[in-house]
Amino acid sequence: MGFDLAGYHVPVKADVPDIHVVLIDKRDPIVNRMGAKGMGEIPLVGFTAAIANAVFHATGELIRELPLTPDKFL
Amino acid sequence: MIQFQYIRASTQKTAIETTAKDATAMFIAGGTNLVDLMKRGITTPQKLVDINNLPLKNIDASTGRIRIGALALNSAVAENKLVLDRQPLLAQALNAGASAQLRNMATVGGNMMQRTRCPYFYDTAMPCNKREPGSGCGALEGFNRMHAIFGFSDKCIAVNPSDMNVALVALDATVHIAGPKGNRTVPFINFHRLPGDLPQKDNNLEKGELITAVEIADNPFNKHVHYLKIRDRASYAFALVSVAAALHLDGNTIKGVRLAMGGVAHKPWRLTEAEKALVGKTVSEGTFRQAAEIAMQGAKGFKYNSFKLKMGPNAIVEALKTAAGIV
Amino acid sequence: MAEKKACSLPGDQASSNESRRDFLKQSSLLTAFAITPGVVVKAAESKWDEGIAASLEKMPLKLEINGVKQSLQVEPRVTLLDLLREQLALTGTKKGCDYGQCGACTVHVDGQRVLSCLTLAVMAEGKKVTTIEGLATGEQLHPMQAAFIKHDGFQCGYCTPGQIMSAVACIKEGHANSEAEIREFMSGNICRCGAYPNIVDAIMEVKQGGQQI
Ligand SMILES: Cc1cc2nc3c(=O)[nH]c(=O)nc-3n(C[C@H](O)[C@H](O)[C@H](O)COP(=O)(O)OP(=O)(O)OC[C@H]3O[C@@H](n4cnc5c(N)ncnc54)[C@H](O)[C@@H]3O)c2cc1C
Ligand code: FES
Ligand code: FES
Repeated sequence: MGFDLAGYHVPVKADVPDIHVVLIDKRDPIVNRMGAKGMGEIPLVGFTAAIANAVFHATGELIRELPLTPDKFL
Repeated sequence: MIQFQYIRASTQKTAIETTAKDATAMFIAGGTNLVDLMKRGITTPQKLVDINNLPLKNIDASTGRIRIGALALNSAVAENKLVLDRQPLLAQALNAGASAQLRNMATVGGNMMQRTRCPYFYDTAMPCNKREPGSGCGALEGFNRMHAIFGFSDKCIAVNPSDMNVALVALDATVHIAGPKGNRTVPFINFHRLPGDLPQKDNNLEKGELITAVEIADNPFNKHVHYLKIRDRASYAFALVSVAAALHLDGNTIKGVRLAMGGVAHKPWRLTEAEKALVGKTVSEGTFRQAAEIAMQGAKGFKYNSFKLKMGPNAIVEALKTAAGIV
Repeated sequence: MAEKKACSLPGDQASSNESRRDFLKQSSLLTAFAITPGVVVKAAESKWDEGIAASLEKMPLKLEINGVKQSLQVEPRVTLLDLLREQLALTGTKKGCDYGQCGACTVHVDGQRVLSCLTLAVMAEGKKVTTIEGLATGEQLHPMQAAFIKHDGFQCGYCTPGQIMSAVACIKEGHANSEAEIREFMSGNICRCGAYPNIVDAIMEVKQGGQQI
């Protein structure tokens, strides 16, 4: 139950590691004249599973339900 | 927010008198808890007595103790040299709480008095015996992930959310109180209450009484200490479980120990039996594990918080190991 | 801000007349205190119409905001955040949550970073308040503002005024000695766009640059 920002935990700075942004240097002439294309929401599909797998690798616990909170690793 | 009258008290006496004689009057210090609760209509004082002009900010040391004024800011206490030298456990616990901005506002007295963060207490559409006596406890059969495993009653299973309180109960602090009937002191461990049949009462402060200071007698717990807070994110979140651990070591022998837990009961939870079991023993993970098992005797989980029955002892062992430096 | 149904909205005197009457009576007795809304006492003494008195239930408030002395009248229930935004049109300070949970409303009061949403304006009497509007010197950006731009420390920008005010204080407090320390002591400012790594870089640069902040 998270009815506000004190209970619904979005990450804070202490949670977030350095993020490396990778630019794919390839023109897309169809989308727009600039040739650029945003990825926006596409990576969102895979990243939770990727994190869950990384956590599995680190802890040996494969959690199949989000969020990945500390209580689920006991 | 409802209308209220605001009064800036210039003396302790007038602050106490005004608050004692008016059922709807309350003190305000940092305001970080009270203003929040007033905005939500959970607490509805008609008169606010601002105590910030009272001379209760000092932190000083004399004859074998540190005295911390009730209006000392959480950030000021956490950075104070006397506190860091003599009671580092308290500084650690304070820095684990809230955020830098909130610690710049929150006072020691206000922190002691902060109310539970139980979502049923916060949601005025829900039953809550603490907010509205007799309305029932929404958490008992509801979403009780953050709730108590010790000392609860069928009226209330909320926890005290403070980090500072866990350190202060471990350090055997004394609370200094001034009231309409004079001054008194209360051992910190007796300041907060278990819910019993009166969950609306968080502590034993009487109407109109003002916390003036907290005192900690000098102790040998200035080296091997650790405050461990387990929470859903790395900072700016209330504890699922926290442990204040302080060891007095002679080589590898435990000469003295203080242990308390947060996030597990309606009051900061001192682990006296586990302490007894540790004195005289040699530092080792096995010893700590045994003590943790003793500490958890009598604990009972609810539908969503049973994880604390496992997280609790693990946290005790980790905190003791870190305090002893054997990680 | 949540209004309680049974009680008074501004201009809704009928529902709160009872307590208002008590309040007026008591106010006239309270001589021991530094502050009692003078007009209200006067209203009580001269038995003014309570409706008129109600509209006068504001208190005098003197404080300095961004170097400008202000002499204002505010209701005690007005937060510093609402005073800045609604009464003084200083809308740089943002309201994210209004409950102390996000840091968007961070301002400096007497040089300390605090949350203006949980500060009653009347409690800032006599204090010096600095908001994001008071950081730059004329057209010259504050080093932290410049560093946020250089490091792309924002996306939508909503959290940014709070982040910058908090960042300046974080360095001044001496809590910017490592990335880890910055991350911990800046965790009270939430950014939903996720500009955290760039914000940390900006703070590191200002700290290492040693500029006057
Ligand atoms: C988003 C958020 C996150 C937080 N996270 C944490 C956390 O992780 N850990 C934690 O420990 N705390 C946390 N807190 C709570 C914070 O520590 C408290 O709100 C704060 O300590 C209250 O102190 P204050 O001076 O602002 O009290 P106020 O809000 O001014 O007062 C609180 C209560 O204490 C009474 N009071 C104040 N001073 C005295 C006195 N001297 N004598 C008698 N009564 C008095 C008031 O009447 C009122 O009832 C958080 C708060 C928020 C908003
Ligand atoms: S608006 Fe003040 S902390 Fe969110
Ligand atoms: S830049 Fe959008 S919330 Fe921070």
